[in-house]
Amino acid sequence: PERPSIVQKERSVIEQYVRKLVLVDLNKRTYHHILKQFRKLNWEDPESVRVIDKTFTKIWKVKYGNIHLMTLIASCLMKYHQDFIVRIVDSTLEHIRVGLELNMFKYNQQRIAHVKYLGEMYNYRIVDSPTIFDTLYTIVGFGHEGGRPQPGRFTPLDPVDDYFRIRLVCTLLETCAAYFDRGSAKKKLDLFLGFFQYYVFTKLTPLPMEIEFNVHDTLQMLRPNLKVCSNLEEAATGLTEAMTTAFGELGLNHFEQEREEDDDERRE
Amino acid sequence: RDANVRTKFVIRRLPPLYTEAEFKNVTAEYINPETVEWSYYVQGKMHRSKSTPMTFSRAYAKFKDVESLIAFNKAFGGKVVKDARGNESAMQIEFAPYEKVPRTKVKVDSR
Repeated sequence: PERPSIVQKERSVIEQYVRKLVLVDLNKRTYHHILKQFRKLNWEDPESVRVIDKTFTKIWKVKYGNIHLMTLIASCLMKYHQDFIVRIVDSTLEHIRVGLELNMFKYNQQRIAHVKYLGEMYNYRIVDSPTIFDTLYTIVGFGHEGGRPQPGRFTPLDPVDDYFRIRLVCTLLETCAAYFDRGSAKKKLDLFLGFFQYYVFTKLTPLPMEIEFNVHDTLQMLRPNLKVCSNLEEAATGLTEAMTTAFGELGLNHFEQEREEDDDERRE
Repeated sequence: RDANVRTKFVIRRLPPLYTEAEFKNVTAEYINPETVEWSYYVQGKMHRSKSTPMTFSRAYAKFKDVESLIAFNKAFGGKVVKDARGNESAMQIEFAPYEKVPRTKVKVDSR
């Protein structure tokens, strides 16, 4: 035919090698060897560093089941290459944010992978729990007025019949929230679950079956004794209760104030 | 230093082809070794396929003190910049969601 054949992307030897390592060879028996190979790469050469950054940032290219191994490798590299770790965490968070801003269907799989990656980063102690909670609240509140989703209010970035954010939250919670079982992290998670259940009911109900199951499974896994709300009123009461336990009697006011302070800071 | 004070900024939504050199040039007065501890730039991208939205460039900077951070935000918050191909966008300055920066002392991997 007339048109030129599809040109294959040219990749340097090092890039081909790194890609083979993570895309083909990686599994739970080989990760140790692969970690060694990564340590042996030339970290002074900007080209190699670019390639390594790329493989660890484009996490959706890796098999989903291997994401935790990539995180494990990254966490082992943290000791010697901190700047590299900071860069991949920064870009993962940025990707999650951009995903919310664009909200394009074709990126859904990538977005799930990123959220999973972030959760694993908590499990391997690369990020701390505040980062996770920040992300959770961003996912639920982004694009909504004051970060607070409300029933019946239209938000172009998160329409009522778009349930994808629920899946993001469930994925993140299922990946790492099992560790939020004591101390302040537990309290924060209780509060978030209240908020999340409320969010779920700001959506068009009844929920599609698979989303509903997803939510139920997640809640069941994290808090087996939690009463699962079945409508908006219950969820609203639940949220108020959760806020009262979290902030004491003056709860609501305090919460509002804190939010406002946060907002002010952000605007500064 | 107080651990609760956040001083790492992310400067988002820089045009895709806006280069690191351009950025450094423009912000040199506020982002330089005297005011920031650590900073780096991520080049954005225009994609070959038109259906893929462009990737904005972004920069990260960890300031040494709150004053220089506020000064920078005052000078640049919402400023519109343009890259070589005429893409215009207003930069968005925010606290970086991940506060950490690498230690200055680096352990060398003996491999």
